[in-house]
Amino acid sequence: MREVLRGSFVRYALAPVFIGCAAVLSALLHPLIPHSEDYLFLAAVVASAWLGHRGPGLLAALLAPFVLDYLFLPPLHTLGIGPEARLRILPFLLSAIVAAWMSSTIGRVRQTTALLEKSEEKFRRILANQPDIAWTADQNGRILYVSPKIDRLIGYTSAELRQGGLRFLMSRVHPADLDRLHHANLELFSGRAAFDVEFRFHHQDGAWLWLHNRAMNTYQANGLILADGVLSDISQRKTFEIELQSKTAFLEAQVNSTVDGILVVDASGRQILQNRKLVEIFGLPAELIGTPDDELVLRHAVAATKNPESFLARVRYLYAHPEQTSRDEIELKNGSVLDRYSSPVNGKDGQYYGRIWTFRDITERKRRENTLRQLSAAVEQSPVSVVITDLDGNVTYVNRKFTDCTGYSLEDIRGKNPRILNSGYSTPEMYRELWTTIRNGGEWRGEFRNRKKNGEFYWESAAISPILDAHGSIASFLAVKEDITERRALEADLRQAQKLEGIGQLAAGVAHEINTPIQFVTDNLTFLSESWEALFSLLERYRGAVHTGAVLSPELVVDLAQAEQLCDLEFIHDEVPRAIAQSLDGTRRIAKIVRAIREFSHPDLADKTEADLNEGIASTTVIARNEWKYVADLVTDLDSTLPPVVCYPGDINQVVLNLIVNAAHAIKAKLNANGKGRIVVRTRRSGAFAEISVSDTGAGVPEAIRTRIFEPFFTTKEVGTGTGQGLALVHTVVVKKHRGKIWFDTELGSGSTFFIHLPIHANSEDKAL
Amino acid sequence: MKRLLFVDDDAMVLSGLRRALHDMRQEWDMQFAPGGQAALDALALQPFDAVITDMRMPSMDGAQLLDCIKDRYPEVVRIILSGQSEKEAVLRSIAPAHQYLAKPCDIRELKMRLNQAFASRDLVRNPAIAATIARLRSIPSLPAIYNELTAALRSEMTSLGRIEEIVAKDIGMATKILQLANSAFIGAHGRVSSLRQAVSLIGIETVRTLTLSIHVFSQFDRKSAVAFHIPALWDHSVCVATIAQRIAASETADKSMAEECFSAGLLHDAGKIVLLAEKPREYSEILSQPNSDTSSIEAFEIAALGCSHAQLGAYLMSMWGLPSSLVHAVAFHHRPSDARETGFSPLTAVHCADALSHLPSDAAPDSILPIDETWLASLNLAGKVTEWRTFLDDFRLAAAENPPA
Repeated sequence: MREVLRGSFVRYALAPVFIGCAAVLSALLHPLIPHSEDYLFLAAVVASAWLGHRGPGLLAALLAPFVLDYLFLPPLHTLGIGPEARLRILPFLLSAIVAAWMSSTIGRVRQTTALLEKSEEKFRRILANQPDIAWTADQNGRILYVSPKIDRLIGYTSAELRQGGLRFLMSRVHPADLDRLHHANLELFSGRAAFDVEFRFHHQDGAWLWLHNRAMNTYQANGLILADGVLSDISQRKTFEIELQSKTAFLEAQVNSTVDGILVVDASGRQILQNRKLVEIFGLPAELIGTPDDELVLRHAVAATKNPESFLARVRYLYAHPEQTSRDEIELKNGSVLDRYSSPVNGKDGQYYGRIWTFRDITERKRRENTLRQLSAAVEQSPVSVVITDLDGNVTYVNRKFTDCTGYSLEDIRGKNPRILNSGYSTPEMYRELWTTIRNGGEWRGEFRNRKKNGEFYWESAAISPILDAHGSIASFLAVKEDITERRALEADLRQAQKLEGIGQLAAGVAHEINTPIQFVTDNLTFLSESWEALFSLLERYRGAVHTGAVLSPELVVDLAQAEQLCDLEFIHDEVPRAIAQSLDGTRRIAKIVRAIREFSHPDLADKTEADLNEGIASTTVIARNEWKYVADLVTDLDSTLPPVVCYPGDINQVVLNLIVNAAHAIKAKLNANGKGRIVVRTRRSGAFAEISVSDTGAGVPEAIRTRIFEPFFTTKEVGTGTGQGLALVHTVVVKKHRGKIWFDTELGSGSTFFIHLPIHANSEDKAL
Repeated sequence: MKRLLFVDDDAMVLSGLRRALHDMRQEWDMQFAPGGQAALDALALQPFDAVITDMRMPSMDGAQLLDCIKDRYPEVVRIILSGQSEKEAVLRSIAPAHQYLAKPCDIRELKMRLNQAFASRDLVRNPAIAATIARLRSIPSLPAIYNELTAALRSEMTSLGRIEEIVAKDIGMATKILQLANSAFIGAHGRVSSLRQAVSLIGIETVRTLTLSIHVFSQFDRKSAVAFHIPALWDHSVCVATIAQRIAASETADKSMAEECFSAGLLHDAGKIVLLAEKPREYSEILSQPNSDTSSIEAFEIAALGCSHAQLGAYLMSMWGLPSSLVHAVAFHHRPSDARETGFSPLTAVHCADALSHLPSDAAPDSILPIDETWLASLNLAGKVTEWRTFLDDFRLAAAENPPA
């Protein structure tokens, strides 16, 4: 009501009201009580001042004397203020003022007290509900006040604390925190710093608590420096804190130890986490680590990529679609390839916290992938056939060339044994050898004659080897094959060409061998023809003489003698028989050469046949005669007990021919038309082999070229003479075609001997070569 | 009596030859040696007129033997009779030999060639000249043309036509080519007198080997002072050759005759080149004399050197086995009636062409030609001269339009 009164001008109505009352009363009481009107009006003024305060009080004070005068000073029933009235104004005023003042003061005091009480009540209520403890202490370590709840906190009552003071408190503090607490205390009371300490405290029951003590400042009171503070129990918080710290440390360690670069941005795109790996991957400068300025980081990262546009495009897209996960690959300018994965980070409650980006360096993987792809393509597109089988020999993979070559696709042949290509050429022994070799980890090489899907035959050369796994045990078998049908055909052609070349070379020599006898046979026949005519004409003369019965006159005798002289009868007599004999000899010579040619160029059959090596050598020496007869004497020493040898006779003849020609050339090189050397061709049996040797007394083979003389196209002769094919052919024929051996002894300046061993009997592998 | 030496390592061949040639025993004294050394020994004892040797013999082959004989006894006719056909060896053996025959050789062929060789020997009486000729491997060529030939042969893309073109420009080369073509190793059975046929028979490869490896051609020394005569000689020879060919073409339908006449015309003055090469001082003097390009030159030659260029050329060619028709044409081109031939032959064409070619360009149409009129009349060709003069005019016109390089 006070407030109501205070605030309105209604209280000014109090003044007239009270004065009015006073007037009435005094009118009533005046007769009874003398001078009661003074007191009544005084009371009215005081009451107005008391209740309405200064305003109404003063008004009442002013009104009172007038009313008083008016009423009670009969002589003066005039308005206006008589002298007595004027005298009464002052005390009325004074009393009004005093009353008003007292009233307000008392009112204020009461108000303040009420407020104070309310405030205390409130305070008490807060404190009662507050878990924290309030305290007041002085600089001497005396605790002046501490909340009663303290006992619930630390197990000791406030009375105990007040009694024990700071010292008691300190005694229960953890030794590690003691110094800090002391120091802070000193700082506080020396006025320098606010008191804010966390420390461990021993509960009365023995448990350890974490307490947080705060005091803002100090103030003076009663000659002491006091401080007010609050003590809270932060044990739980501390536990959480420690747990959080360790978890955080663990997490940080995890984040930094992962192989991925991690970047976490919050919902607004600001980065809140990046690990070391990210820095590494993108090569971010050190200054940017830990900076919240993600724009800078982003710019750096983008600059490192090969295609910044697409990088940013994805980023923008994902920010626009925060619920999406994304995975792609990006390339950096330095050549690295990264696998980029991004997903939203949602809390357990489903709230969107931000986005996490992980970058994994897959450069190595990509490189390996590429290599693998390349190798795979290489195998698939290789110009040789590749077949891979499992341990049992069944096909698991064939490449394109295989299909092209054989007509069988991978589907056709998967799971089957490549033996289906076999045409019957390969023998069981060959397969046994193959399997033994590759099962023992070795590589087998050989040739097959296979059949294509369409029935066509072809030759292939194969290299088969095992493939080992990481432990070193055999995982599968690999066969690399090459179609050599054409090559074999070419080789056959080459052999034929070589043979023809050899024959061609000798044709000149053989022609010479034949020409010479023909020359003298012709000459002899010319002579015989002329002689016949001469003889017959002589005979005619004699016959004429006889038939006519002419007498043998001396003229006739002389005549006949002259005729005889004329046709040189003596010469005819001597020479005709010789001419005939030599001509026969000559024709025989020619026949022998022709026979030898026929023998020599014996067409080779597909299979080897038994042949008499000695006969072949005899023909060959005749064929080659023109090559050696001028530079050497050739002697043969042939073992007549040598059995027939299974071989290709034509090839063997060619071999012997080449050796004889070489021997002749070696001798010529040494002697150069001064005298004659010696060539010996020998045959003999050597165990399971037939041995042929050709020795010469020629220049010998120099050390430097001894390893090369069997090389194709290797020759020491001048350009135009000799093609270097001779010994290469010999080697191929002896070693490859006949599985024989060839070697030589040589001495520079003395001569050389070439030895050949040919197996007398065939090997079962020699079929249909 | 001519003395012949046959050399072969095969005794039966020698016996055969001996018997087959027995009927020549009255004209030829024939001896037989079993090898090169024996042959040289025999030659040391007596002079021989001809040596016929095999190629392939132990110790010393035929070519080596003939090389020796060429140096020591240059006037001996050297013939190779070989059973070889290996190109390389054959080509090597050609160089020192005058003629090359292949076994088996028809004995009649052998006799004919020998006779021809002997007959021409009488053409040259001066033994020194005879020896020089006999030693000659080739008639020297002009260096420029020689280089042209070697350049063409070294190039990969040359043709037979080109080779023939070059060879036709040089008398020395043309002669040699004809010699080679007439050697048996080429395989030609007929007588080769056409240059084109000769070149195509021999083939480019062989020409290459002969020129570049065996050096069968030779050149005038670059510093030779007399070489400047050669181009004029050559111009004249080409002129005669062309006209002779046309004369032949107009007289007979035989194409090979026309080609033979061309060759004859080309070679008819070959003897002059030989003389220039062998006796430069004397012969250039003779050549520098006035009227040196007429038949009167023969008189000077015989006076100074003992033989005429015609005889000399003929001798060389016959030694080299060129066909006798060519030999005759060369020998008697200034005195055709001495040849005692009947009918049209290269001699006829060459003589007339030669006479025509000496006409100056401004000669009157009816000026006298240095042609043997009687002889011409005996061949019934007297009226043809006017016609033939047109050939000369044609040639001169063509030559003016296309001056030779």
